[in-house]
Amino acid sequence: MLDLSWLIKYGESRGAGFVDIRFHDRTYELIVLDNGVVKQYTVSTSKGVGVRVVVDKFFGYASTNRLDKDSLMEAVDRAISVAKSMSKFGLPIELFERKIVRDRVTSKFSIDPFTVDSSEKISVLKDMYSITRDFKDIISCLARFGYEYDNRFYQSSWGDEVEVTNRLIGISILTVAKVNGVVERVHDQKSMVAGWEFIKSTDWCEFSRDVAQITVQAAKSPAVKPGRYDAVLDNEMVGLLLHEAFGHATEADIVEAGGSVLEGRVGERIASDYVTVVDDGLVEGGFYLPYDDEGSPKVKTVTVDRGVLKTYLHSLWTAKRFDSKPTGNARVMDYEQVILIRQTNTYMEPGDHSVDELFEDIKEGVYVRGRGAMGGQVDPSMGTFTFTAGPSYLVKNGRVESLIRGVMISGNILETLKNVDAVAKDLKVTTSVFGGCGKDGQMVRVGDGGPHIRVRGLVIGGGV
Amino acid sequence: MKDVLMNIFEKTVSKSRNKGLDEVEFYGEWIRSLNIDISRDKVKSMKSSFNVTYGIHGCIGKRIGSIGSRNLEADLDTLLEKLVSIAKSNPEDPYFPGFAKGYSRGFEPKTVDKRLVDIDSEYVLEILNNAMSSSRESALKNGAEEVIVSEGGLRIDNYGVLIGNSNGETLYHEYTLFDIGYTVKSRAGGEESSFTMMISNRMLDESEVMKEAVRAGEYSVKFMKAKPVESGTYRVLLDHYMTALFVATALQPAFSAHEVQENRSPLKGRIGQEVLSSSITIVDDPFIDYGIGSRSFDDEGIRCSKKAVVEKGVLKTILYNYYTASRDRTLSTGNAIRANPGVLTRPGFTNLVIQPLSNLSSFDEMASSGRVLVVHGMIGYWMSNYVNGLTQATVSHGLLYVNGEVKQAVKNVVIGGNIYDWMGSSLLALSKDVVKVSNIYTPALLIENVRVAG
Repeated sequence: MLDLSWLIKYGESRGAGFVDIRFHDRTYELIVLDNGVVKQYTVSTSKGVGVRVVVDKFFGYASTNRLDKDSLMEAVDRAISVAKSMSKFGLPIELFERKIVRDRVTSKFSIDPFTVDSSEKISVLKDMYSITRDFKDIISCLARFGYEYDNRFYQSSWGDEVEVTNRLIGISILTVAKVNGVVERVHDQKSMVAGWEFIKSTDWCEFSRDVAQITVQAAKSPAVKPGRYDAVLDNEMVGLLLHEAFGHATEADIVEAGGSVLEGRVGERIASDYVTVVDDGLVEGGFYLPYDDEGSPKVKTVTVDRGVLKTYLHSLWTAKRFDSKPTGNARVMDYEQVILIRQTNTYMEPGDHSVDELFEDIKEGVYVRGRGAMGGQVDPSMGTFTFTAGPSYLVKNGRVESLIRGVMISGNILETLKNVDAVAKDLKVTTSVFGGCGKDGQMVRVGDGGPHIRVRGLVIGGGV
Repeated sequence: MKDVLMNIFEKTVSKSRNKGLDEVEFYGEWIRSLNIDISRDKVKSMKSSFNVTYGIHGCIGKRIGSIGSRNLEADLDTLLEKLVSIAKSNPEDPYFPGFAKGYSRGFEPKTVDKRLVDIDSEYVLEILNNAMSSSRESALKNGAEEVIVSEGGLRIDNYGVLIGNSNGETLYHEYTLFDIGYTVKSRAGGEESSFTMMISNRMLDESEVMKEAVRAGEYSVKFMKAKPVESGTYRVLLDHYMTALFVATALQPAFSAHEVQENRSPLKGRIGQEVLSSSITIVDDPFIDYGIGSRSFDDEGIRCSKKAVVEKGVLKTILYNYYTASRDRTLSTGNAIRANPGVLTRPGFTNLVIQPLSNLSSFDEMASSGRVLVVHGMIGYWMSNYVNGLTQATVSHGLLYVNGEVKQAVKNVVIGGNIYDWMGSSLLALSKDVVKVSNIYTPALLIENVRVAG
């Protein structure tokens, strides 16, 4: 293991009451095949050290990617200097003191993608592109391969030493169809915490064919008529909804700032009995996060238990501030950034219904699908959310019927979760090597998902 | 710090020849930042950072590869060997013309505010504290019973960029950036409402900060008791900020020659045709002092120029970098933009300036023109789709005016349509004034027949 304890001691000698160091080494490989031509093949590497100090109850951060001794000491000096300058306007903080953690963990993989010949990776993308050429209405195809190696080492003045190495790999495709002057696009991706074996074991041509087919069908479909509908949301949409519309409001730094609609509501009913929401760093299909960036173990956290808000997601600071316990949700995008509270894998626990049962008593509704969804956004202080779905379906008299496009859902999360009246058994959680969750300029990998659910009276609109 | 970049560049050029690369392009930047985070009226943390990042792009014939590095310990030989391996394994790109050559500068707008370069962190904290105080006072003055600045932050950057190629051409330039944004949350009569202010500028303008701080306080109260309106078709007035957000996501990327060539733009094949209302001219203007997109050369060293992209509604040109220009057998328009040092450029706007030409009105007159939904805040606008011009967002801060009177505050309604209709056949009027929002300079727009789901 790397040893930066000398740097911690240097910080303490300069007056810091607490020092922690984050060393981060990341490599990201990205191949972009645009209409059959490799338009980008980049390998990006990043290595640096972030320092956090507490001086007289104020946080100071500094970072550098010059790793010589003088530059590291200079970073500690800068962190101490900015912490000292906060005495007039700063927020006094205290940290939850937990047990010392020492561990080294690596995510599972069989074949290191860096040992695989580049031409093999390009070949997978080319095959996917060739499939889309069979569809005369597809006018554009962009396929990407992404692989991320991420190594983090955390050390603190308490004696913590935690090293986590993660490998995340995946492929995405964007197809654009033009039918009778109507242009529609659909994007989809599959990622896994794994090595090259994930790419080898997946039928990417079938994946490509499915996406091309739905894009063409969507371009032929009418736009949804705006209004309120009973809706069934699929696994991906449930994940998006929970992560964006609900999960951010459970992040205790947002609660502390007064920016969450859930402030002061622990113990209150905020959803229907059918809703149990979990944040878990080790769930199958999700992103692998056994420890957060403060070295705290990521415990499986039930934020909502059968409709009742049980806890927020915490760092060491907010755990102390709220008289709670750390949940392992203190995260940074990279060594340069400050600690924020972030979700890991957010999902809803499965219920008892079959998926078919959810449609049975819907007279006129919408089956809201996540494939091709562009994501969502929430105002956590008010609970207002909005999402674009992928191509979706009208539901009439309990039957899934014609395809519709341009679906955007909107509402207030607390009202929406109270209107969940059925949850299916089919739990599915996914992650992505091409994106993640953005907050305050930091993007971190996350996962989300759930079973199919039914929501009454959802606002659905959108453009054409 | 220019020396550090120049040193890496010179070693790169010298070693690349021995490694078998025909050409290389280098893009490096150093950045020194001060970041401050706010939580409930207080400064939660402050961060000082320094980083050097660079990208090396190399080719063997028409086979290209890229390496990005934010690792100053990295061995250059190893990086270049990886680059060669990538380039060798890549199939040929038949359109690749080589990396850009003929570096030069156009007019040089001001991009550095020396006050930001040497600013004292305690003075920055004073500015932030004064802004937060102004927001709170403004909210209380406008009827709030309680008010907090809940979260947000301030960022100051000073950075330099070095571009070079294997012909030995180099260009270097420095920039400063000042960003501030936070949310003001007010309570009155058992109701809550909030508003977020954002400023992005290359210079420190305390008066702009105070003006926006006061507006944020006022607007944090203005939308109390907001509720949805009935679904239907409405006349909608997008304020300057909302117009800029839709333009940035649904319109701006469509002018990129890259998107046009890859069949992802509705502007393909439409040069010389009317694509927007004749009341609108759009100019790409890289020469505005302290503009966010201002520069004298683009991200591959080609001189920038001011040009009309849409003139009285008619598409005059799309935007080119070196690669896309070669593919269309024309010249680069000096619009190469690089998302980060490790990737190749794509064409994009420097500063996008919308000039209102006719059907001009004041904001208040437009708001008073019958039954009008005025939009001052929204979420999810970025999910609009430049491939087909689809526009959609959920209104978070709206006001329903009927004959000049505010009937209700509005939230949780989805507005949807198409940007080419909104800025074309459905455009009723434009405000006379133009406001800067990041790199977009725009009037407010009054639009007919906007679909609203409530």
